[in-house]
Amino acid sequence: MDLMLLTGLLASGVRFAMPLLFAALGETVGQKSGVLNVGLEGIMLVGAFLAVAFSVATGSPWGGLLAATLGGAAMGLLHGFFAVRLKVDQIVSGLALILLGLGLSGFGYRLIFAGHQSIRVPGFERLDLGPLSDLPVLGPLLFSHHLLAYVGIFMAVGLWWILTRTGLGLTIRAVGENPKAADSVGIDVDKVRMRCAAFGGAMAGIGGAYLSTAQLAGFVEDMVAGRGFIAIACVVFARWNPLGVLAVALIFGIADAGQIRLQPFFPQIPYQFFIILPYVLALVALAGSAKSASLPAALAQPYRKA
Amino acid sequence: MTVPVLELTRLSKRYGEVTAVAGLSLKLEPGEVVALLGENGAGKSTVVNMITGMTRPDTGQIHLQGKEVHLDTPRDALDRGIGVVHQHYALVGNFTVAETLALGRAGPGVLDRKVLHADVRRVAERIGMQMDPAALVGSLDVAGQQRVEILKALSRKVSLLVLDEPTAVLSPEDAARLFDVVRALRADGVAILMVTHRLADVFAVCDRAAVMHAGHLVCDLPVASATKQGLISAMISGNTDMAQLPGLPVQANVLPDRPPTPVSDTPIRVSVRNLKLLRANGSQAVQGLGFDIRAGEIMALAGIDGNGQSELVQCLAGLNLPDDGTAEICGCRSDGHWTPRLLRNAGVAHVPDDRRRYGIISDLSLSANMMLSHFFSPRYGRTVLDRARARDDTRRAIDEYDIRTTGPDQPIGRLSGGNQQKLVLARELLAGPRVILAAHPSRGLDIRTIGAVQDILRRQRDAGAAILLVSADLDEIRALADRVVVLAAGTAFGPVAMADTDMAQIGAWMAGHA
Repeated sequence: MDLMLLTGLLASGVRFAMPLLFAALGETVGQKSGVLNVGLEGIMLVGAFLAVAFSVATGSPWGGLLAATLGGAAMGLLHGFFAVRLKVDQIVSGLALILLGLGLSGFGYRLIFAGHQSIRVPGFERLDLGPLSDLPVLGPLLFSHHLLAYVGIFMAVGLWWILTRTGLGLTIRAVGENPKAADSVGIDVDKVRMRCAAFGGAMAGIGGAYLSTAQLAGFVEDMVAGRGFIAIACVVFARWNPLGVLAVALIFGIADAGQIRLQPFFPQIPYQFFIILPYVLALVALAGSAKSASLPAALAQPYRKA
Repeated sequence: MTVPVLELTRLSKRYGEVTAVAGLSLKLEPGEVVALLGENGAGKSTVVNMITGMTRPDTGQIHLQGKEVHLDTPRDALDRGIGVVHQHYALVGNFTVAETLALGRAGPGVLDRKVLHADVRRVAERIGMQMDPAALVGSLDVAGQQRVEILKALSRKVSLLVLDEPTAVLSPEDAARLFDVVRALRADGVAILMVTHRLADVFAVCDRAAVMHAGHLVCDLPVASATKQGLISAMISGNTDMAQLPGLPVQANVLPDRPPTPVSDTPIRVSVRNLKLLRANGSQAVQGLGFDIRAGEIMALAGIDGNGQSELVQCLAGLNLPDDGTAEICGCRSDGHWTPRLLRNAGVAHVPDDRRRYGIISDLSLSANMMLSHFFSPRYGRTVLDRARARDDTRRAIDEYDIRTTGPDQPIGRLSGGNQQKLVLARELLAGPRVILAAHPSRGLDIRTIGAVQDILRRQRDAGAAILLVSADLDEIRALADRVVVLAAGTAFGPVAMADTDMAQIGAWMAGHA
């Protein structure tokens, strides 16, 4: 019985972790290149909305995913345009993205779906791997997720490999650590940062899409509910390491799943206390990793040529 | 007849009203080491920028290997075989040496560490250099990082290497090693343009000396027929009459050697006992350090950067507490109250080493910067700031210290480094300090300003101040110090009176040899 409970907790923890994972992986790449995007929340909202709208329109969650990816990339580029090209303060530009995303998604949703009582959103199906999925414990834990979840885990490993083992990763890290050094060997700092910002946006868009078409099925205003910020906390807590991001996102996911499961056991405690658990965890994590040597040295600093 | 590696023909560059470089022509043959000398503002940096693709000349041509080229970006210069080692290194601290060399050269794909490491060794061996490819750049000392910069330049095919003030931060031993590298490159046929302030560099390793003054090339002659005095005179006044005549005396304010005057009867102002200081990362910076500084005496704290000088000065300025031992300045003790405010009130002036970070606020005016050290003194008022008085003080400082500026309201960031430093000195000396902590007061300044700064310190000493002079420059130590203490690798040598030691001994101590 206990094992069942634990298996269920871990399995749903994986599901809860995925939106965080995608957004945080994108943010990791962005921050590694020196671009801080605090507007993940807004991008995830737009992603969630676009995913629903285009899933309904195309009849396939993949159409929705594509739209969310492109929309996210566009917002990442917008951030890049302000923060990288125009050298606007990155926090200010990120805050603008949050408000923009909140407004765009809410407005767009009402524009398209106002009056529709219930829309059926074609969501992602869980993979059915036959006997594998039916295995006790391992089945629900490892072999019964949405395809997207496996993509996320694969990307964590892939991005870690790219950042640490390839010339592309070297370039991205150099741009985020010492843009002048990169510039001095002929690397176009702003171009690299723009691309990383777009990638970060696309990933946040996918995170939003996961939320509205895989984890849930439908869009609600402000449904991201702070996950964009938790994703940023994940990046810091994981010390800008994609493999760490995977681990930290899973911890947050499990904490989120756990608090829901704990609520019925302690009816005397107001449920709000459980809801804040993951956020408290994020605060503690950030407080504990305030000064990290892995912080990209040129994070949030626009590069101006001498 | 060989083709010159680099030929500059009548290069000119104007910035608004100011002519930075006027009709400069210069030739570098393969395997030739040319020193480019000049004061700050003489136009050396502009020449370097034009050669390295950072700025475009207004008129004139650049020929590389006999072909005219247009260098619009640093990349153009790199691709054409021009390597640069800038004064301020452009390195990523958490990259290994191998990764540093791969950056910008390797494709986006997988990096093969074996190949990269072999690459580093191959380039290093070419010039007889030892370098661990797996070492983290941030863990190397200044000299090591400079070697990485040189390797970085050489990892591409270079026919011309520009070294910008390469010896400014090196110990005498490391400078000698750098010169060995320069000689190896010369033997390899690489042309080298060495921008420098230091005449010692010119005579140590250069073949020709080109001197710029106010944008003009005033002389260009073989080092064998040049004299120290002549080159100084050409740099300061553009006057080349003396350039090849030996033996004429230098102007009085240029690095005069003075007999050290020991004092023994004046009050002790600074007293340090068994001091231990840790760096921010917990490693040991200074251990068992003890010395006194009396009123009317200059104590030089010699040593290569990063051997605890910053930690010591910050401690004596009240920014840090000792991790063991005690410091006492003008009656304040480090085991009692020990804050910058208290020490400043007791008469401590602090000329920090990192001027841009700790000495000035670039965006603020000269007069606002003037107020910074006197914030808690009643000089500029207790509640409402007396800006008029600050402006008056600043105006007087501008006259007295010959600061080149449009006036007290100009943002200090617009001034050259030398003029910024003069304002910092003016500010620190304004209230007649009893103790002066001067960290690298003349670093990066031109020869005329160095003379002025040293005169100022000497006058303060004669007026009875106790001065701690942090310096890595043996010439400066010789010119100013009465006694010297050397920090190297956590150990302290001395203090010893300048009369009882010599430059070779101090140089050996700086390198960590007892």
